Amino acid sequence: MEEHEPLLDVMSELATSASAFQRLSTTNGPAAAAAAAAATRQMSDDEIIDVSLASVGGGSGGSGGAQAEPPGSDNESDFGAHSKSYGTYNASSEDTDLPLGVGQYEDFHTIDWLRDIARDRLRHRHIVKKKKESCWDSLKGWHDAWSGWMCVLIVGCAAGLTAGVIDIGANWMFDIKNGICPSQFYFSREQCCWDSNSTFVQQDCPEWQTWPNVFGATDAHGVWYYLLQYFMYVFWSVFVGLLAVTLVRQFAPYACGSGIPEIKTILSGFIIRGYLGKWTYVIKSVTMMMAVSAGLSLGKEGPMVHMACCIGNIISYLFPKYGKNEAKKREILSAASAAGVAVAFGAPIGGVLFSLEEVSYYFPLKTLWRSFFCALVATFVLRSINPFGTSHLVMFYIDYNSPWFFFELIPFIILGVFGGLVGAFFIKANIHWCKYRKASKLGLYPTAEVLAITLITAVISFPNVYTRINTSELIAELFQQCGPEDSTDLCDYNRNFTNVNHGSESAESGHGVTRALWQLSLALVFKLLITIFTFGIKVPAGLFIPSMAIGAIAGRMLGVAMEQLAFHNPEWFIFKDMCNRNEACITPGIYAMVGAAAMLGGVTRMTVSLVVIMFELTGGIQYIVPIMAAVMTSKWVGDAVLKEGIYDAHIYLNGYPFLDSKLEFTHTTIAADVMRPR
Amino acid sequence: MCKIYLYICCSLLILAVNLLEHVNASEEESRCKCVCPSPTIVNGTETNKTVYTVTKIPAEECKCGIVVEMVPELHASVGDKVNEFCPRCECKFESRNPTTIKVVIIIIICILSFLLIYMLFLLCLDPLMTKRGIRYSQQQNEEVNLHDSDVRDLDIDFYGVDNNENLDEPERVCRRPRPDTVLNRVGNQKERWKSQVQEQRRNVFDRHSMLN
Repeated sequence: MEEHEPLLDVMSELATSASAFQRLSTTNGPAAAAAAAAATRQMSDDEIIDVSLASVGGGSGGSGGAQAEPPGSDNESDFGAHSKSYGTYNASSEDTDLPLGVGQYEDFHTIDWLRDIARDRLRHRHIVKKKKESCWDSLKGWHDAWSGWMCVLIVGCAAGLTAGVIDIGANWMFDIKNGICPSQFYFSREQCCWDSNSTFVQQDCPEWQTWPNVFGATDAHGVWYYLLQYFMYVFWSVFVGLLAVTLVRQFAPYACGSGIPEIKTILSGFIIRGYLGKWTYVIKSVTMMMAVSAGLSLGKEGPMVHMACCIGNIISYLFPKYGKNEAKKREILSAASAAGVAVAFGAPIGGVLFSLEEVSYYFPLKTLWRSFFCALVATFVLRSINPFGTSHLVMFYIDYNSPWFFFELIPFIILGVFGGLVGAFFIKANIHWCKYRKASKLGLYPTAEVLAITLITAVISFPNVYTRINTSELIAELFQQCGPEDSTDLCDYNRNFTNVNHGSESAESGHGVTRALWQLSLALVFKLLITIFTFGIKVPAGLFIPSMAIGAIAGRMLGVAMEQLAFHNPEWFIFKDMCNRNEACITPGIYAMVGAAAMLGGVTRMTVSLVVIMFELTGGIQYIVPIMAAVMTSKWVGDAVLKEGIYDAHIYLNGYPFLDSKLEFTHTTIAADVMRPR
Repeated sequence: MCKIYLYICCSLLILAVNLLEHVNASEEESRCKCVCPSPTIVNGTETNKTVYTVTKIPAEECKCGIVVEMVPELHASVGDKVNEFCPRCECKFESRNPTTIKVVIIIIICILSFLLIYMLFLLCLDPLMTKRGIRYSQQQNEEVNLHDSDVRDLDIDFYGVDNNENLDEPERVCRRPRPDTVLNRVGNQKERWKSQVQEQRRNVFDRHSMLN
């Protein structure tokens, strides 16, 4: 009788309250998920019976045994009852559709969580029982016990290694647009000028040959030089873009897009054959670099999650426990997606939280620990490759420690509102465009579309220096504080250089800053518009980097405005307390960071994981509160305007069978009413 | 078979990680890169920025004072005004491993060229080869041919004059009974893979049921 209780529990909970569904998916994961499966698949009658039969067996496991086997399970009668229920269950299912092999489910079907969990428990029992029989069997038992950790270890190593390769390759490929290092062709610009001394900051070192140099143009300010550079930039972009889209089309069409909506759907128990296969992995990794190198307004961070999940899927075939059981495989995939974010942003904890908050559907504690370990290993491997040479995993690391003031929360919240509104606008516009693409003739020419977008992006972005450079570099520059050594336009303040100790004092903006702000505002509009059209074309395209760039630009502009306001009106009561003349009191870099977080929050609607990712990304642990405030505001504003985030919106657009655990049920009838109408 | 292959891949992977560690330790290059104003700033207001790089020094010595000592011309022009010059400098310690970069870039280029060659092969040579094979199987049952030509019409409609003939062949070729040699098995696997890719292509590009 004891074993039937949880099921009854589950049923009554399901029946009485609507929100129980949500609770279920966190506590009794498989049960709720199976209900979800039943709901989405519109099962035939006998299949429903099958599920309920399985719940009898698996329900008891959901409460206690799923996490850890009770050590004293030598209670003979109890055990017998269990195995009997499994036995009957197995007998009934084996003759219907369980060829106990890899191809248990057909393409585009929803998995049966309970059946798979029950199968795994049966297998586990078998191993535990045989363990005492011989030495070999006990060894097998040990192998079975540690295979989960082993699997995530290998996944972590592979994810870190691939991410390192992609980072190095993307840097190199992006700089190829500008020129080449003739002595060592495999070096990017920064690497080529490694030990060159005494060069001016803005110019290239003599070792680095820009394309006009190669073709014989020497005058760096001439028209011919500029045109040649422009041409090579556009030509290379279009060439690489064409290559990327052809590769995707020829070898792995599933490699296009960001992949996170599909990963979410797969983790919620859907089967898409080939989506996490070898070819998808290879093609996605290669074309990811090329898409970034083509200068398109997209990032490689989202696709890295997909790439890591491909690794998880491939590696899980080594371990039959996971490879042959779709429900168990999803535990590995959850861990892999955590590793993907961990290597993309150098944020291991953020990765785990991302997996928990955004992508995973069934996330028990055991998976949490595995994800933690997987992210740790992946980050460690990436760190030992050291792709940026700075011993940081990403290029956004900040090295200042300026304080922020309570008053500044107001501009931070304004940034949050901006992020929410623009994010909602972005989602709406992008979904509209995707719908249009789907319905109209435009969808028939994916290659031409990619080429057109690449051409437009390249032609427009070259004249503006802030769109010409790599988007990651732009974000890194916006996050930075203007030190005394900076000589970019953005840091062109009228500083008094005779007094050495006042290097970082607040100062009036020079002409350079005004010019930079103009260019930045143009870059903001351009990036926002072009990203709407870019997200959804048939190359790997992540959304994190472009939306962060949009937010960072807006934040930096607001930051400079605030700084100048404080500089010109030091007598205002708000500025009186916090600023004295001799030191900087407002750091525009913080605003850029907060703006980036707000915009990202507005687009993806993440909260906790986003804040953790942001502070791991930048190392600015003291800016958690501003980022939290902005992200929360952006989520409120965004949710008020448009209910769903971009990933959910794309899931609905494509019509994937995804039952959102965030949904609230509006029905007040309980199951008893339905069963016995009063 | 496939599993052994995967195991080998995994051990290679772990070996690669080990090797990387090893190489990293042995061949690392380091530099201390200081961005400073031109030395004349000590006397006047000129603000041209210059980069000074010193290689092969330990991380803890990457400080402006030490760099000024080590760069002769800087030492000559700044002289004893280090205390005024240095606050305007920013020094960063960086390290890299040229071998890793070289290997990674070469691997990427190899993969890319392999993919390109294979793609060209699939687009140009393969249709010719399969076409020769098909001559013997002209008298296949009509339903299949009808179905195939249907599909082809559809594809041409959608793609224009893209190279799609080669993608419809596999099904026909597979039906021909062939002796079970290694070559044929590899060929069969290729055909199966090609039909899978084609299915994916239909989902993504034609039906727009995914990834849009």
